[in-house]
Amino acid sequence: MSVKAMNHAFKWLPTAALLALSLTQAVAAESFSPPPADAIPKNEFGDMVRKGQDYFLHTSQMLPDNVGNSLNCVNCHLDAGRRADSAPMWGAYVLYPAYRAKNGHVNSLAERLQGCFRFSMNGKAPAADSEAILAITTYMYWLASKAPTGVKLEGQGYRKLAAPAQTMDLERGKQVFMANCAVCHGQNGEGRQAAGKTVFPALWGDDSFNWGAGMHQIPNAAAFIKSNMPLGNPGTLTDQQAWDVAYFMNSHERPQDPRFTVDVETTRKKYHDGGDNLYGQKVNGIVLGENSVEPGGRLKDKAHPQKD
Amino acid sequence: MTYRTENTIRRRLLFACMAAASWTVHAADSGQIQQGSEIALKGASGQPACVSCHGAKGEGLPAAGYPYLAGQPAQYMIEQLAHFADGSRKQPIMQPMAKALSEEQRAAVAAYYASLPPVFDRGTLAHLVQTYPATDTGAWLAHRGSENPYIPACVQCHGPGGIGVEPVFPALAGQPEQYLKAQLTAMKSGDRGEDTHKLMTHLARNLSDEQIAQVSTYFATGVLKPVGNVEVQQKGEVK
Repeated sequence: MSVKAMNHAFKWLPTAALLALSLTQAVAAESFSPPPADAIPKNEFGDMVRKGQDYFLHTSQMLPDNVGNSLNCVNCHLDAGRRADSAPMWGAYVLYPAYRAKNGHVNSLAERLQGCFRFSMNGKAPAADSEAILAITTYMYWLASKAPTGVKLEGQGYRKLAAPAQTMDLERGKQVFMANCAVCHGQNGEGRQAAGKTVFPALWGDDSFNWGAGMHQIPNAAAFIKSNMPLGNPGTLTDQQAWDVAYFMNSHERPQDPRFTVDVETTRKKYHDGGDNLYGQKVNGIVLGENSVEPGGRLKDKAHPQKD
Repeated sequence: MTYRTENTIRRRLLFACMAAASWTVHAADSGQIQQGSEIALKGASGQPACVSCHGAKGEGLPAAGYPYLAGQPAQYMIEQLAHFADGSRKQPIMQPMAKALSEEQRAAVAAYYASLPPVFDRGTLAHLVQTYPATDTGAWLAHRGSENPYIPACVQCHGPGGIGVEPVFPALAGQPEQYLKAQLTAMKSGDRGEDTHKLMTHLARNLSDEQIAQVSTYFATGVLKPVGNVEVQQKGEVK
């Protein structure tokens, strides 16, 4: 082999290696199915799995001291945390402990779950050694039965969408929302109740997740919406529609980020410094975050009962 | 003024506006409800009275498979009457009757039936929680849905215990079994008009005849059985 040919080969080597690596990764995304939903063992262990499953389905009702809004885990993790591309619990279980850029250290699964309570549930995290965290962890462990550890399983997280072909647009997003989402989630994203029980979750406003929750990030929301909404008939929105409606949803106020520091601008720099992150950005003349209610939802009223 | 104080005021204002708005809607409806009750009791445009099949108080006639209408969402009933009228919901008794009514009359009769108390206790049934009805396929579909093919739990749209959710999700609890079965079958074959975002026409196609029978039985009778013991249900356990 001539020197020139060798050079040529070396030039392409990294590309080939990368290709091989990405192929390996593609193959490595193993498919996985959790045990059948009705196959929880009938023993003491199974009792704890059941308890975790119940917390998962009726979080707001069963953990009133920890959930500040009326959301339940199952609102964003469909089919009791079993459904692929809906951030399933079996997919998450095998990836913890993990380093998270969000807080800059290695998080145990318990700490990750606590984060859900603080941000997505706009509440107060149960202690890491509480029964609630133990039960939910046990349920997740059971769902991940026989899954390999430390592997991104197929269907883990939300299926990422390619960047939007057109710049996201609020007006188009509003149209998508009114035509496809409002009948369930309400024209003002407030969700719907029946006999005082929340049926469809609030997408923004005081009873929704706060500015620290993962779902306020547009790529997460767009990916969730594309794979899972409208509930029961998913896959009917185009990628562009999913992006636009996620943008529209997150262009509204929601409870303040519990990590709020000094002012909105400082908080944005510290926690929301991304191009498509709308916190601290001006939308329709309003800087998002400046009119947020303080975090904690209904828990605030418990801590400071109103006198009038 | 901090953002907190501003928001407290904003929320109180919002509450006041909402209270005012709901009163306005209520007041505007009373004439319509009166008109609707006359159509229901006496019939209109030469058509028989609704009460002759749907009962004096809109409670239905289970033995004949005629559904209750009392307390169903008004918009849902308006849509169904429109589907009967345009022929997309195929039902030989209802089609000519709906066609004979004007849009205004349909809205009035829907407002009347929506204003009547439902046949079940909404408050009690709303507390029904079943997270693991592993031995009852109908209850499992109702409360947990199906994984493959994917069908969300019925209660996710029809409300806890199937009590119905405004504006377009009808109550299912206590409807005649025969009626529920016929509706799911008609959705499957495309004989029940186009529903909201084609959600049910899409989902019904994934239901087997056996599942249709099981879930119909469950909502007709099963769902009403355990509601005497709310304490137990709140713990996620129904025995």
